[in-house]
Amino acid sequence: MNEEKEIAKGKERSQELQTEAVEPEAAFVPLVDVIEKQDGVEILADMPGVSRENVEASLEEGVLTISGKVSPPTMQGMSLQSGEYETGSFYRSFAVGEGLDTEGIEASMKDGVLRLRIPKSEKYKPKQIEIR
Amino acid sequence: MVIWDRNRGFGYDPFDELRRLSRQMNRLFGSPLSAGIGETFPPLNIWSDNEKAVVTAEVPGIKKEDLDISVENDVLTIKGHREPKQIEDGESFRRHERGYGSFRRAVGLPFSVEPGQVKAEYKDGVLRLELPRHEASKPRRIDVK
Repeated sequence: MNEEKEIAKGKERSQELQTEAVEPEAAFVPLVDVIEKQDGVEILADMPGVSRENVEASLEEGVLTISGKVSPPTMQGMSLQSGEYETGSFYRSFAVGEGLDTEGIEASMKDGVLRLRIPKSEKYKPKQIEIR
Repeated sequence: MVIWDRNRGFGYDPFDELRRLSRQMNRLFGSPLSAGIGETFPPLNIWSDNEKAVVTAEVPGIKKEDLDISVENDVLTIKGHREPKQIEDGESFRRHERGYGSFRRAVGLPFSVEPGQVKAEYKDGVLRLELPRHEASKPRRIDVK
């Protein structure tokens, strides 16, 4: 059983600097859905303001890390009347079990949502046993 | 908590019951009426100068056609809907943090705007509105004769 090893804790975005991340600015924790499927795992992460070019997903020694950069909007000469959110980088990492086929990861980015699909390794897929 | 566990292959899976329960809970709390999107969704930033106001909103994963924006005098209303992630039998949520459902937000702008000249752009999950100030609401210098 894999214990969750989230470096980035907290349901709400936190502005705490991640100790592992060498980011000069604060990093936000994206909200995610993690869905376990018969043949793999799907991860959806809300990263508003992150374009396809500025998102990264990497897998190293069983730790999946997703990160994205948001460039703050340019508002020349304008003053902020009301601010409810801040822009910055997104960062979150997960421990990934050995039952997943890390070679087969597929990633896509649309409307600020990162979607990752990680297939299960062949030997961990549920198998139908034929009874003769 | 388990984020995902290996499939155990043969025999009895003690987590099967938990998965079933988790599915039922997801269904129970999954209706749009009790969706995770609160009254402060979407978060907005409002900027202004003497000529215009600019409003940005974080609305990731929403289709353009599911956004409904209207302006009346100095009140901006943003309505929309975010589709819930559908899962099939045999699938289960290990994390379910992203909100979904219908939302409606009305905010006061610093001044009345020209409703016909509002520009809206949706990119990478961020909505950006440019709202030019209504001529009549611009401050006017009065010359004393």
